[in-house]
Amino acid sequence: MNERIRLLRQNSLDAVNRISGERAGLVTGFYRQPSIAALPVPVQRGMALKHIMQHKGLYFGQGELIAGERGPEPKAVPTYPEVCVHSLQDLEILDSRPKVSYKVDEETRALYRDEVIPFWTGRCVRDHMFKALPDTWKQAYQAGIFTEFMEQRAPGHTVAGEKVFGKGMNDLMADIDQALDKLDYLNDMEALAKAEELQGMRLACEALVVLAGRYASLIEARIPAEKDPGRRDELLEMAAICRKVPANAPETFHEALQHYWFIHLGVITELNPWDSFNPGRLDQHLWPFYSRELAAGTLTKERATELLQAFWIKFNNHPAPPKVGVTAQESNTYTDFCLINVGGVKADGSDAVNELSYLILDVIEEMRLLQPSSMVQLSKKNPDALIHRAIRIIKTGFGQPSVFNTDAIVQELMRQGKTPEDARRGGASGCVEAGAFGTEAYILTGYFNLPKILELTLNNGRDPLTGEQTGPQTGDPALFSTYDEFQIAFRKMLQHFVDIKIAGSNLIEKIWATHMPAPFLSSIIDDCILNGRDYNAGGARYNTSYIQGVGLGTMTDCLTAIHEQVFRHKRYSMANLLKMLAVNFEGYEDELAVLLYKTPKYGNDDDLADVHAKEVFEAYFEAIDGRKSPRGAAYRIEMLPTTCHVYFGSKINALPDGRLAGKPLSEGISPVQGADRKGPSAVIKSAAKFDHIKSGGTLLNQKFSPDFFRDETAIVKLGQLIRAYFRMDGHHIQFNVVSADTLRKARHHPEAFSNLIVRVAGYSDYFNDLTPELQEEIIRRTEQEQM
Amino acid sequence: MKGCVFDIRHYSVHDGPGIRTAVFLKGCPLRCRWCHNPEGLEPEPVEVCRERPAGGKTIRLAETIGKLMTPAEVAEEVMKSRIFFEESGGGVTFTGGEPLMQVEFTEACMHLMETGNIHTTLDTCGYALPDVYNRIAARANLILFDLKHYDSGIHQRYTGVPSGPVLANLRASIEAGFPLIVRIPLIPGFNLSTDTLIRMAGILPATGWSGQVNLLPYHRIAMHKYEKLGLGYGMKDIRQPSAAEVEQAAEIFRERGFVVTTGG
Repeated sequence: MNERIRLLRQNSLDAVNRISGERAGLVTGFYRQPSIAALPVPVQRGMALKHIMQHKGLYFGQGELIAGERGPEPKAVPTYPEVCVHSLQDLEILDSRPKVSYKVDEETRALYRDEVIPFWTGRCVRDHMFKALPDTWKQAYQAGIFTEFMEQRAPGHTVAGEKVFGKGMNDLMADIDQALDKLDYLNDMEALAKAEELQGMRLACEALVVLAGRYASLIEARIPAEKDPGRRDELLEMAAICRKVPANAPETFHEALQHYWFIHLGVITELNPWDSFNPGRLDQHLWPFYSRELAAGTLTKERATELLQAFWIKFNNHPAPPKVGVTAQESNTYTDFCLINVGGVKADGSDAVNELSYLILDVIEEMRLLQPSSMVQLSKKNPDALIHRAIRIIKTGFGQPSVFNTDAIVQELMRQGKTPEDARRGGASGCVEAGAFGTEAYILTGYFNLPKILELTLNNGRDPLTGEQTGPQTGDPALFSTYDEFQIAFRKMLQHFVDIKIAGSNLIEKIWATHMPAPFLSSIIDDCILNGRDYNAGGARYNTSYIQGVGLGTMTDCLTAIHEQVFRHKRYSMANLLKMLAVNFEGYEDELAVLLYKTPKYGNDDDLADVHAKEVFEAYFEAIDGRKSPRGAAYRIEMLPTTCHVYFGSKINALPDGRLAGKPLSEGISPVQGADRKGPSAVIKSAAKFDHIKSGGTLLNQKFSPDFFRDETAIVKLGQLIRAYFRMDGHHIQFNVVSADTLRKARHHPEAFSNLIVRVAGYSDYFNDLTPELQEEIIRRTEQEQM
Repeated sequence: MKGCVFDIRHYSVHDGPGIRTAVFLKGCPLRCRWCHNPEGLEPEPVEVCRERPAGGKTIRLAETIGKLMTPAEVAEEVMKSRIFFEESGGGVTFTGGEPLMQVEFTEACMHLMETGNIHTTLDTCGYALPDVYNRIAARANLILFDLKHYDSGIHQRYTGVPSGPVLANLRASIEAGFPLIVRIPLIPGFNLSTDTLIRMAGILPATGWSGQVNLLPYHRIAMHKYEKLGLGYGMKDIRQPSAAEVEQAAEIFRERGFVVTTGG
């Protein structure tokens, strides 16, 4: 990287994460105006965005090539009090917590105390939600049976499609006007609601043009004082670009990046959607601009690289909006899950890899930043050169890029009802979530604690942590004479809590659709304009709601232990096993050792265990898949945890697989930490025994010691391992290439390892930014079994 | 028929082409001081006690090293990796111990592999009667042949057996045109000298030979195994060769026209 990029990158790394009260102040000021309340909600939202874009502070850094920050400066993170208003105590926690903290200054606290908190308390979405949700939901939530994504952040999880790069705001406004013209007030009983939504969208598009115009003026004002003639020309060009995009469609490579970046800022300023926003298939979207300009001689590969690097840094300037409470525990990271896709197939199904795919991989390797996250889509049609290039980056050990199976993703999306073309235009976002980019609202509603369901089943519905009868009485397991009886009880318990979760999600979805539409996001995702409906209300072409299962490995090993040791070999009676669990195996260490080391475990290609992985997956799938939501979405399953396996583990006592009370659960579909003893191919075989195509994403973490890569053939052989997994329809795989020894050293001497990045679950993070529990968990899963 | 197998390791990437499954057969006629698999030396299963952490305590669990298996059981376990073989051009590698110590069992396993169209590799120390050696070597798709020293006396001192039968099988294999990779451990104080390596290279045909040479620098990685098995480790004072020494050794073979790889 050149000196300019090095400085920009360093500034981004050095910037301190802090809360900016700016947006909260603006949005509160806007809503306090007496005239606002009478306006239709989508119009309020469009106007609120325009108000923010008109009045927010602008930042344009020395040497920048891409203009625009969400906050007043890099890593100054706004808040969204209309979604979730932070208390003064929340602000204090954010400021002072040891991990993932955000500095909060006195001015912001005063603003919150005097204006934001008094206005939004009782008005924000979160307060609406908790007022409306039934006690059964709250009890299950508090017991750690599931989490709720939409309590502090907006629905999002979505990704830009081709339209974002092909149309300007003026084009979108023309589309909106056309949709308004076509409204049929005679026959369409929803015509008025549609008109209001479309008006909101139009205002939101205008907001973006306002922001870009202000940046153009700011840059123009810098020109007279600029002494460096080269930079002067750049500023002239950038000002012209900001006058052109996003109002109009981009025509050059630089314009395309700046255009997307304004749209990105629009989405993450309007609300705080999960997974921020995402340009998606970047090598595909940028290819027309790149190839055209390269041929015309107006762009060089070096300049394209520099622009991409500057673009990368912009993402790193934008940490996730602050999360507190359970939300912080389930997603405890600054990362905001923008996942750049490279590779895969084109809409016609042909190999999509191009020169830019490799150029972007070069940028990923050289920038070595937490954000944006990156991944390679690998189709059977893609060349081995793509996966080999990716592995060369993976082996440098910062967890990126992760690797996804394009052919599985396309099948998953088509099973859910997408056309082949829309499916092929998709990919994965967030951690591992499959989506039809540009046409789908796929919303993650929360994590679901599968081993907690098992614990409740073992205790006939009583939660051993609280002593309360949290679940229905599914029978005293000590009286079960067959494994089937146990399985039936588990399924009953599972269905009970899935129903509570879905009922809650339906209610929450309705609150969002009614109180907090997202007209800007709606204007860029098809077919919200055509349908005159909001993204949050089912306006997209495809609508999906996910409930993400956590603890598949732990569940599998628990069921195996029960099946093998209690029912099949009758080594322990159920009553005895329950006694061991109740005392956390104290005094039962011999029995514990048998459960840990002499019982089949998932991850070793052993059918005695793996059959239960399939059983759990199918039970979870059957309980959820295809259920309907109010906005017309279908509920689907995914298997991923972010950091929730640590939180969920803290809510469960000892389990039959030998896991002690309070310890983390397994993550994603990976085996229990340390339980896989037969190497990576056995893990892959186990993980491929259930049908990934019936999910919307599974997450498999793999560890390799740096030593594995000591010779060149390792690259080829790892590529073949991945290909084999994908041949078996595996959805995703990611790698930690770091030794347990290094991690142990880093835990004891954090100061010497400030740059150490590890793969957590669907994202990478600085090892020092992880909680001690998560650090320990990663060390355990990285440990190699010795003889 | 049953054989004694002390491990079946999948995703083995250093024992022949592609991704392989290594079948470790128990029992070895040699006693190399640097042996990396001391648990495979004796032909019978061995009971050991292994200490395992459980709930803050250490529990001693009885474990058996070596399991009596039928060829069909071995084949079933190996075939679990079929998809990886297909993806990578890999297959099965019979190693040990010394597979030729259980020649009939190895032969039966080999037959099942051939029926399944699986690429077979024999990893051998070469110390066996010629007809025993040929029963397996003649049908293996590849032979990894360990060559340790040309000098019979030194060979005897460090491995417990003379080098004569090894060299005879090697020469016969070359003559018969068996697909060979000759693996030479590089061990300071034993064979890591220019003179010795030149003499060893002299055993191999300089022209018209399709075989390759694979140099394996000595590594202390197995030391902890000796401690766990309660065995003395005769190599404590031996250092690991430097990268420069390994490169120098490779050059000796390379300049004589051999295809050389290092590490494994």
